[in-house]
Amino acid sequence: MVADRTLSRWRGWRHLRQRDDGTAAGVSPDDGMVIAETAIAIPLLMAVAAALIWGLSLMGTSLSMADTARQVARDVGRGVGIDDALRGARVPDGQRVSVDAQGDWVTVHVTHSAVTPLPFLDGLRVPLEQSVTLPREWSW
Amino acid sequence: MVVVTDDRGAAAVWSLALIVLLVGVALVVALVGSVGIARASAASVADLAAVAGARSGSCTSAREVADRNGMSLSDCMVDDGDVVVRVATSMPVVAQRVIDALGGTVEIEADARAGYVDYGSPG
Repeated sequence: MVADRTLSRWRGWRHLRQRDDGTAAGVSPDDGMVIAETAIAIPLLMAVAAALIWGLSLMGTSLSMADTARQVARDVGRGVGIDDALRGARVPDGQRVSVDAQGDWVTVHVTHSAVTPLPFLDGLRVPLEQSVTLPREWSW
Repeated sequence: MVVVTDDRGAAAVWSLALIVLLVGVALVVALVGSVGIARASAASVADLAAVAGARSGSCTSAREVADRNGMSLSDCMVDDGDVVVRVATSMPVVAQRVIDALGGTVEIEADARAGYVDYGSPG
């Protein structure tokens, strides 16, 4: 009798008893729904959070690219040769710097192809570009 | 006694609320970030425009540099040989629409000063 009362307190014991219609007594048909829904929602939340972090990193990259373009343009503006300016620039990994000289103007392009960190979007690339235009020949 | 233990949808509601919150945070961050990027670009162009103005000694070339970079020279003056410029730019279209919808205004401007430095003749 004592053992029976102890077992009755144990929730698992109630799961073992069955009603006449065959369903387990004390078990709601919704039991486990929170766990099931959370199991579905957590990956979705993780994906949204990862996309948010990726967006932040894209902004950081854009700022870095603007800085690179500015650095190269300043060097060219100071009279440093284009090749020397490109060699002297501290270009972060993944960024490509090109200088386009047309007529009296020089345009410094910095490009970067950002790859998504999400595995199911593998191959998706976001092209980023920053450019600055300045006079080709500056003389005092 | 009937005990109602209907948990169905509870996690979905919380997840939806969290996703809405995250997307909201993402939008705010994107807005602030686009302002930051535009400000950095404006600072870069203002710098070059000031140098161009200082080299020519006038605001004409500074204005030309700003125009070439898709920005406008909102202010320029020659001060004792130095050229002081203020360059203004606009927000990206999407960000501008969001700001308009919120009833706010964001002005993106950057100032720069450049001048000729005479180091004297050698010897």
